[in-house]
Amino acid sequence: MRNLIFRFGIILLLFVIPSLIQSDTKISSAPNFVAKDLSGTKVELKEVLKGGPVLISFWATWCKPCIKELGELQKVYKKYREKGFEILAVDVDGPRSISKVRSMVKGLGWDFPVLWDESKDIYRSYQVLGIPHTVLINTSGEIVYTHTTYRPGDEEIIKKKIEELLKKQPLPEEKQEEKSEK
Amino acid sequence: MRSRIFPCLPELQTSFLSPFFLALTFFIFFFSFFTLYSPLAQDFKFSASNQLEYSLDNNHKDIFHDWFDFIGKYDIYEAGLRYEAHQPDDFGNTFQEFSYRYFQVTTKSFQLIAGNYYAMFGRGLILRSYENRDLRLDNNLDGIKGNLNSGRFDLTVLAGSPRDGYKRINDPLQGADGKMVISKWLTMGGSFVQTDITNFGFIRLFGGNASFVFPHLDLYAEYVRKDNPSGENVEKDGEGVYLTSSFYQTGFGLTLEYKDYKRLDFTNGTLVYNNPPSLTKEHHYTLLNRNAYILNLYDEKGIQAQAVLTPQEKLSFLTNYSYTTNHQNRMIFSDIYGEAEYDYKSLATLKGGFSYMKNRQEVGLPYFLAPVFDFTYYLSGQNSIAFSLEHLWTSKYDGNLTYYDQIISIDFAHSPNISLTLTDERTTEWKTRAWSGKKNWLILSLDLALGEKHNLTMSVGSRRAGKVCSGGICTDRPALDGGEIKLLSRF
Repeated sequence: MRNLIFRFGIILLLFVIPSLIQSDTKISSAPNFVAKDLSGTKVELKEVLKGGPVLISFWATWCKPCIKELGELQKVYKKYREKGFEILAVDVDGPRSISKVRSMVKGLGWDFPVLWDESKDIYRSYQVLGIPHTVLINTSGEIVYTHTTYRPGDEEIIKKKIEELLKKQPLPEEKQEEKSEK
Repeated sequence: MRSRIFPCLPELQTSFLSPFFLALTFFIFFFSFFTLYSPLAQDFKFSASNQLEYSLDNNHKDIFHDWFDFIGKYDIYEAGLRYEAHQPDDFGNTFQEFSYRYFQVTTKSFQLIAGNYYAMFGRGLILRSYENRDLRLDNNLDGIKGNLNSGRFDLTVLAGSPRDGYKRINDPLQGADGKMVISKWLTMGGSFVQTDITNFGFIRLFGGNASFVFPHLDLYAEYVRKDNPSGENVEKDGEGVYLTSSFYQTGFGLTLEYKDYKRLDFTNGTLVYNNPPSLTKEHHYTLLNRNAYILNLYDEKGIQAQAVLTPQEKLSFLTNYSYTTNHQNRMIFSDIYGEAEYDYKSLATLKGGFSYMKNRQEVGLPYFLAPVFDFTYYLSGQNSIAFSLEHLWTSKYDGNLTYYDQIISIDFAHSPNISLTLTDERTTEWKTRAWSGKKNWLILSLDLALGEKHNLTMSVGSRRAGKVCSGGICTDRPALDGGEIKLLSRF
């Protein structure tokens, strides 16, 4: 018993301290991926990043806070999409609920692209340990913000981060026109 | 226990001063400083994560789980490793090992993995190898997997031996899965898997699927056949059909599904190789999932319908109907569920739902009535308070035995870092039978985000034992009367 508590304490120190130092000083790059959206079209992260910052949200139809968060992110998406901001909602549903994804997405009125991750390859490459999990990536492909779970108000922090990114890396005028035409 | 992957390693010690923990210490510090200061780190990309769960119970043994994952990438190459320790797990088993390691090459049209991997063919009727830590389930394959993708064609070929519990079994499995895009609207595919299972003989599954995607409508159909020509302990053949269609437009979505599984169980007795859709709703609420239906691939058929309606931005409805019988048309499971959610001027959210469920797999052939209610009030931009009520009436033997279970929880959240939740559960089941245990359970949980990379959850109190289910697969979770810590870390 004491051994276990010791072990837990040691692991806590080993794991938390180095990465708390890291989190303030090092920005990690986002793993690139190719995945299919609901219409079967291939989407590559690298290509999407050319248009502006991207927020990846890992979710599933059975995850209550995920649905809540994506409902709020839909409002954020409406506000910033014309400035180049994009959301990629990565669905990690298993075979039980995968057929309900399309009707749920449309039924709830979400406009952002939803990608399939049936074998959870993207989930694993981003080292996701629980959903909802959000990752905000700048146009250089660097992860600038990550967050696990959802609490009401989290979207306000995401909005601030997006505004900072759009100020630093504004979308060229021609791209803005393309987006607003869409 | 000696590592099977690295048999030359000495027995891994449990002491924190053991060679393993010293090596881990060195690795973590080396990894941290390398990624911070080394110019080589620009080309190499490393990431790691750790999931630690520890509970200290007054009545039972302590439970300790840890999964550490590491991924290294360079250009098109990727390698990964997982160390897993359970000392002991929920059932008293002790285990520690490098349970997952792989080397992978990925280009735009080609991927090759040597080592451990996961795979799903079609909708899981033939093969589904996956990990679900909540279910303590991991049936990864160890071998080789290749994928070719040319846009119109997609072919996956694999061979390997699966993991069953904590051991790797020596029943090699081979399989292939192909898809071809026929037109903008139609994709067709076929899958094949074979293995020779100890005591069950040679088993082969093959099938085909078709997917139609039209504007506002899509359809998917899959048929699978199982042959067991040399089998003595199981029937020689089986089959499965799965059909689904979705209709959707902005603000409305409808999904209809049909299943028919006859002797489709693909198992060695403990390990299940396939996991098709169970056509039951995966509820968000604890009590509604406590009597979840367990998939029976030997003999079941059924339907599910689910509709989502959002008539305006602040109001949404969801309804679901699931019905499963055996092939003698005897009802096994049914669930009628409806919920409505309303957002009042972004000040508060109200949600109410109701479920009427029958589950003939449970003792006493019960039916269940369950109203559920959620209320969230936004105190300010960052602070919110939420109240949740789940009430479940259970009636057995035509109503002669009736009792209820109830969960009430109050949650205070301060975005983005803190949640404090108090959960109370009580039951009157003790009135219906001999009862020696607790009648109510109270637990306080504090959830903290430590920076962006760590989430720590600490709970103190008691929690009732119960089933944890996902996708028709369930596991028993022991009761807790003490404390629990869960730490999720990413590096």
